[in-house]
Order: sequence, then C-alpha cells, then structure tokens
Amino acid sequence: MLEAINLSVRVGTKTLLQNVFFRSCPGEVTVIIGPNGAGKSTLLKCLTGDQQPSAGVVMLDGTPLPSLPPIELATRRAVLPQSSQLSFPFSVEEVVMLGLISGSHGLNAYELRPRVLEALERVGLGSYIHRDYQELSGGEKQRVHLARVLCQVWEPRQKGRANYLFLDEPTASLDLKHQIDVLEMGRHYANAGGGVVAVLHDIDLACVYADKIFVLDHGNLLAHGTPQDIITTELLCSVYHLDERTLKNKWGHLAKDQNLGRFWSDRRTSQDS
Amino acid sequence: MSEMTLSEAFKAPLPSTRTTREACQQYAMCALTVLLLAVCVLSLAVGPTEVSLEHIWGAVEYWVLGEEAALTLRDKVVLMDIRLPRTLLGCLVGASLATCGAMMQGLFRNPLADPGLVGVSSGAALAAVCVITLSSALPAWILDGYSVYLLPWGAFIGGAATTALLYKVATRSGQTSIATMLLAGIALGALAGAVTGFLVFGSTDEELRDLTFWGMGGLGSSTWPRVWSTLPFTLAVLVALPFIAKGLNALLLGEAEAFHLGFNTQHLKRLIIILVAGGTGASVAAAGAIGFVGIVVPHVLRLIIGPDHRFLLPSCALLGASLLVAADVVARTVVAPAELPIGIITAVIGAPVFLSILLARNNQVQV
Repeated sequence: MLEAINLSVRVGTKTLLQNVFFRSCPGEVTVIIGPNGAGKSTLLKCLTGDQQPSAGVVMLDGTPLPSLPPIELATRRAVLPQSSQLSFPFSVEEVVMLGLISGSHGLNAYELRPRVLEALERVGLGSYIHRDYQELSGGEKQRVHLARVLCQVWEPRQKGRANYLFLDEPTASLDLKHQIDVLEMGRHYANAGGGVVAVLHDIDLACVYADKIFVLDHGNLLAHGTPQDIITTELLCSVYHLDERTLKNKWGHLAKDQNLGRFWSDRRTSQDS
Repeated sequence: MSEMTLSEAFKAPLPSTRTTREACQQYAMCALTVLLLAVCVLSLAVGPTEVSLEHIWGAVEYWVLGEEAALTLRDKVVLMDIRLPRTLLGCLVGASLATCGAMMQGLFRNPLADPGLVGVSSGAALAAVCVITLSSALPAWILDGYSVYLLPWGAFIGGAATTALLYKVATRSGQTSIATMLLAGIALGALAGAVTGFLVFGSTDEELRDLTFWGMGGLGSSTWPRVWSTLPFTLAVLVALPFIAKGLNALLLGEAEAFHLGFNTQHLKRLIIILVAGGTGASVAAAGAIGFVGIVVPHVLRLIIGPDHRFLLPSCALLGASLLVAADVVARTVVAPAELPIGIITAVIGAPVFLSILLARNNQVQV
C-alpha cells in the first residue's frame, strides 16, 4: 500500500500542497484529478520520491520513501513521464531497454530482448523495434516509454508485495483508441495485483477506469473515494468553475443532478454482465 | 508442421541476444583499437630522424621482453625520450578530451556541449596561468619537488570550479537549461580569459616565457614527468567509465527519469563533473586548450555505433587518442623543422564537422 499522510509542499511563500492525504491500494487504479495548477504533478512527484515534502510523509508498505535507496524504489515502482526529451539517436529497442538498465529485474542476458519485444507488442509497437526513436510521432514516443516503464516493473506482484505504476497524464498525446489501450493496460496491471496511480484530465475516462478518485484543487484535497460516490455535478461545477449550461453541453446525456461517476459505473457493470 | 528447408532456416531470425547495432559496436571497438596502434607506430616512426619499423619492433621487444635489441643509441634516445612520451601524452590527452566531451554532452543532454565550448577549458587555463605566475610565491621545497604536478592539479581545480559554477547557474529546480548553460559558459570563458590576460600583463619576463610556451599548446614539450603527472587523471576517467556509462544512458532521458530508473542522480552528476574537470584540467595543463576533439569524436561515433555510453565512451577514448596523435604527427611534419600548434589541425578538422552538425540539425524535422 502506498500512503501519504498530511503532505504539505511549500516553495518559497507559495503553498503547492496543504495537508493532503493519499492512499493507493494494490489491485486498484487510483486516479488524481483537478484543474491546472491544483498540485496534481506535485503530489505525483512526492509519491514517486522525486520531491521531498515540506511536511508529512509518504510510505510504501509502511517504509518512508526517503529511507528507500533509489535502486530499491526502482524495483518497486516505475513512472511514465508526461513527455520525454531525448536528443540522441537511440533506437526504439534501446529506449525500452533502458527500463531494464538498473539490473534488479533478475533476467539474464538472453531474456532481455524477448522482454523488450513483448513489452513493445503490448503497446502495439512490436514491429517498431529497430526504428529510430527520434523519427516517431509524439503518441508513438509516449507508447515506447510506456513499454520501457512496463519492462521496469514487469511483475505486478513480487515476493508478495505489489509494484506500482505511475502514469502522469498518460493519455495527453494519444488518440482515442490508444488512450483506452493505455488505461486498459493499467486496469489489467491492477487486476493482476499491482497498484496503478494516474493523473488524468478526462473525467469520463477517470470515472470508467478508476477504483478511487482523489480530487485536488488549489493544493487541497477536496474529495476522495469511489467515482460513483464523489463525482457529482456540484463537485465538477465547483472544482472546474463551470456553470450549469456548460456542464449540460458537455454531459448533456445526463439528467440534471445526476451523478457522472454513477453513470459510468452503471455502464461498466451493465457491460460486464 | 512441415520441416523447414535449409534456405528457410537461414532466413528465419536467429534467437540472438545481440542487436545489429551491438555487432557494429563490437566491430567498431576492434577497428578503433587497431587504428590507435597503427597511429602510435606511425607517430613513433615519423619525424626528422627516420626510424624503421624494424627498429620500432626491436624497441617493443626491448620494452616488453627485456631483450637487448639491435638499436643504435641515437634511435634509443629518439624513441624512448622524445617520441614515446610524446605519443603517450597525445594518447592520454586525446582520450581525456574525447571522453570528457561525451560525458559533458550526456550530462547536459545536448550533443553540442563541450568542455572547450562552455568555458571549462578556459577555467582550467586560468588556473594553469595562475599556477605559472603565482607559483614563485610558494616555498622552495614545493617548487623543487612538485612543480610538475602543480600545473595539472591547479588546472583540475580550475576546471572543477568552472564546471560546478556552470551547472549551478544553468540548473533551476532540477532542470538544466541548455541556453543558459551555453550563455553562462561564454560569460565564464570571457571572464576567465580577461583574468588570464590580466595575469599575463602583470607577469615577469621569465613567467612570460613559461606562459608563451605553455599557451602555444601542442605536445612539443612532452617529457616523462609530464606523462606521469597527466596519467592519474586520464586513468581515473578511464577506470570510472564502466561505472558511469549506464547512469549516463539513463540521464539522457532526464534527471527525474534517471532517478526513477534507480540511479542516485546527485552522486552521479557530482562524479561526472569531477571526472570532466579532472580530464579537461589535466589535458589543458599538458597540452594547452585543444578545441573540437571533445565534440567531433563523440558525434562521429554516435552516428556509427549509436549513443549507448557503454560502447560510446571507450570508443571515444580510442578515437580521441588516435585523432590527437595523428594531428600531432601532421603538426610536426607539414612545416618541419618547425611545428604547427596542434589546435590548428584539430580546428581545421573540427570546425567543418561542427558546422555540419548544425546544418543537419536544421534539416531535422522538429517534433
């Protein structure tokens, strides 16, 4: 379990996060939503160990993050960045291979390439293995990095403990099909016992795929819980400063005061059955 | 399932653990080793006094096997005391310059970063000039025993201070701005140049003579003590290469990404800065500021074997050493008995390659 308690981040006089609570359990997709500048990225940085909070603590299975060495952290969690600048002529294979660079994956030299190929096939880029990374489109690059991240924490569960996948706006540069593919992959990872934490802007996708949603605004945690419990029209109106009409235009298929989270979860259960 | 025909079996992809590029990387390493050996032999053989290959072989036998070779005293002196230290120093300086360039480019995630371009060499040169002009104030026992080591250590400290300052100025909240780095490097280089000029202005005749000889650069005054004083720095860089290669690969993705992949980025950056400063400082102290080796060699090799530092760094050491030794051979033969400064030769090769990089980057599709 990944847990943050009373997390505060202050930079100079600016408060980026204030007493934020967060929890992500194995087997669940946890989604962080909120308007621009709400502190989503800052929270994610604290959770991955990139940033030290000014107050509060982040714990992975009861161990505070700062006491875990980077190599240990790297075996337990992988992070898909929003965008990666790479100005050197790597091949796609070499980029994905970077996910296996720290050597804590327990594979021998003969198992590395099959793993890389399998990861690329999972993101639908199996035939791209010898392509030049720099020639790819933004969406393809993002999927190459997803394959790299998958390589890093291949097993959702290891030695009885869950590994974690962090996705920072994974759908930003992807078309509709690949947005769904990425989140489906997160879903499968969670179903296999791993933990998935994603920052998303698309409320619909968040409601469809999240088990728990954390809503941030101005560095404060406004609400957290299952989508059907918390994603209501009032909440969306107040967080995103929308009026009723705009909201109706966006989600016109919803009756007034209907719950968006419940709408999507009803859809999901009817589809599953 | 029907049995595969022999031709089909050959067409089927082999379950290889090597990529095509890896095969290329290994061939390149072998070829570069051969090239370096060939260039070294050339450097030993060419000069005002012709030494035949037979004699060089005899000398190798003498060094390696301890067999008394049929060498004339003249050949022995020419080989042992003049050309061998010169060739070795060329190897050390060239290897340092090229690997430091590659490390700097990896650290800044930019193929255009180079210790000479961003002011590290100027900082090292300033420190070296300080050592030459101010060392007369030091107690005599230091000067007598250690004067040959003062220059490389001084240049190392100057290079380290400049690199650290540069990194500090260019890095804001974990993000290194390339534009800031280049601008800061130019500013630091200019400042170091100005202070250097000031020191030269105020120096005595004898110091001025030392400065002029040193400032001309080149391997002209190669002696064994100079080889020994440069060796530890280059050796430190070469020994450290396998340990930082993977980290540099990860750093190419970004600092946060390198941390996510399990590297202690702070330690890694600090180590790289120290190595770059040491390697650059020692080569500046030994041969003056020699430009473009650090940018041309890594760039050419990246085109051939790719940017993987596990292969790139050792290849850079080999090709950098070959390039500098070859440039030195040219420098001391084209206008013999005089010598061209070696910086002219490397600049003549380097500047066009550098410009071609810029042109190629302009043609690239910006995504």
